[in-house]
Amino acid sequence: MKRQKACPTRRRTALRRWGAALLLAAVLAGTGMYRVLPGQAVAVAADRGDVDHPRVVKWVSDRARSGLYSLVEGDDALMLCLLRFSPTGGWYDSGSAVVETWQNAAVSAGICSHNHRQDGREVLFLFGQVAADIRRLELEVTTWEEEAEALTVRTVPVPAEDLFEEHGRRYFVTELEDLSLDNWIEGRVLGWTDSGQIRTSEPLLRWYWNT
Amino acid sequence: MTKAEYTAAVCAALRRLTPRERTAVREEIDGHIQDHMADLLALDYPEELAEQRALSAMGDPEEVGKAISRQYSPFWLAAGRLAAAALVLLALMVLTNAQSWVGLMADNLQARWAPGSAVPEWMEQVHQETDIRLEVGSDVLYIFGVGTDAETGIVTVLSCWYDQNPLGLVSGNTVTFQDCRGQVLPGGGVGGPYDAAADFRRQSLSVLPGDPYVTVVCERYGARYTAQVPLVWEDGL
Repeated sequence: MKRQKACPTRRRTALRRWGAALLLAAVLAGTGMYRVLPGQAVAVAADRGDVDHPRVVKWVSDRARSGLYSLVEGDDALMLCLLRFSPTGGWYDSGSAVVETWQNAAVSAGICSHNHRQDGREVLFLFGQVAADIRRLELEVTTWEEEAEALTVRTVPVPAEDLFEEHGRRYFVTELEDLSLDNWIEGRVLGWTDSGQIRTSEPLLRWYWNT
Repeated sequence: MTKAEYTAAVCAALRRLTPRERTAVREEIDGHIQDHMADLLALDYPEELAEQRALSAMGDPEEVGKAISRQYSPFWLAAGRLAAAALVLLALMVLTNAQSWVGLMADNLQARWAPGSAVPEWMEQVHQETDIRLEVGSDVLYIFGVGTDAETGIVTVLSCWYDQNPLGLVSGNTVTFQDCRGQVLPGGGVGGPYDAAADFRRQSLSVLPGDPYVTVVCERYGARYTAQVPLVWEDGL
């Protein structure tokens, strides 16, 4: 008599299905349709910012842990990008700031603001690259004070632990509290060398993102 | 006990089997009984006796059912169902994400191969199709159309940005134009279709009628990229 084709075992069925699921997951991850790793989102942000040969220098998180920040060095630019995770799309770039470093200035810096609509918070990060002899940094901010109707200059020290060395270069990335870009007029970063000389950055480029 | 009653008794003793597995077990049991009966019938056994002998050789149906149940691991059933759920979820992700992914790639390829089809109304304003491509980092600035007006000296330049990687994104670099004497040209630009994969622009420049070319300049991270755009004038200029 003609026998029916044998029913596959539960083990074989499960293994086949898991194999197919892994294959689909590999296609999603490999094509970038689903970014499994935060590094994949960094690559997309670098492509969008036209930063060649991006290398992650440091991962940091803001105090409220609203996302993962990545300090990324490229051939001629330094980028800070906020990465977030979505269950449907994986890791994605939620706004990046780019500072040009090709001039090899003593202090290259930028400032990046993310306004979180959900809770109305503004997260401000100062970041940049400095020459090897810079030992201490300060942010000098000029703001317009509405109540006093006057320009005010204040300085904010960059904590020593936020200045670090990686791959033979010195970088800094620090979260700024009690500061807002709302009444900001101008900002510069001042760097003190070993011998006490002051190096000043160009006026800071500001990047705003609503997330 | 008949063959049908035996099979029903085995199936009644089965535990935690899916309907498909039950059907397979039923067919397997039926097959065994029929094979055995066929052998006995070949030895000239009467059909009724052959059936009885075949059923008694199969053993106690309840024990057979329990023994078969033990072969079906609940772990692998759960693992298989979990995998099926994962497969459905992943397939949905592919469908939703592939849509935007394919859309971006289509826009990139359109900008690369047939930019005029994205801005047909602009193409009516130019009389000279060009193929000038300037690599700027990972992006390409493609100047695909130029129009000149000899009376006013207005030059219209159609361009688009696309990434060298068909799945890459454009960066929105700014460009300036210079005339053939090196003077930066004032002029307004109009944005066209724009997304992460392609960025179309129409630039209107004011030059001296008869100028042989304009130069497009793009600066990016300290590097300067330039290309000459030849101008063809009507009226013999």
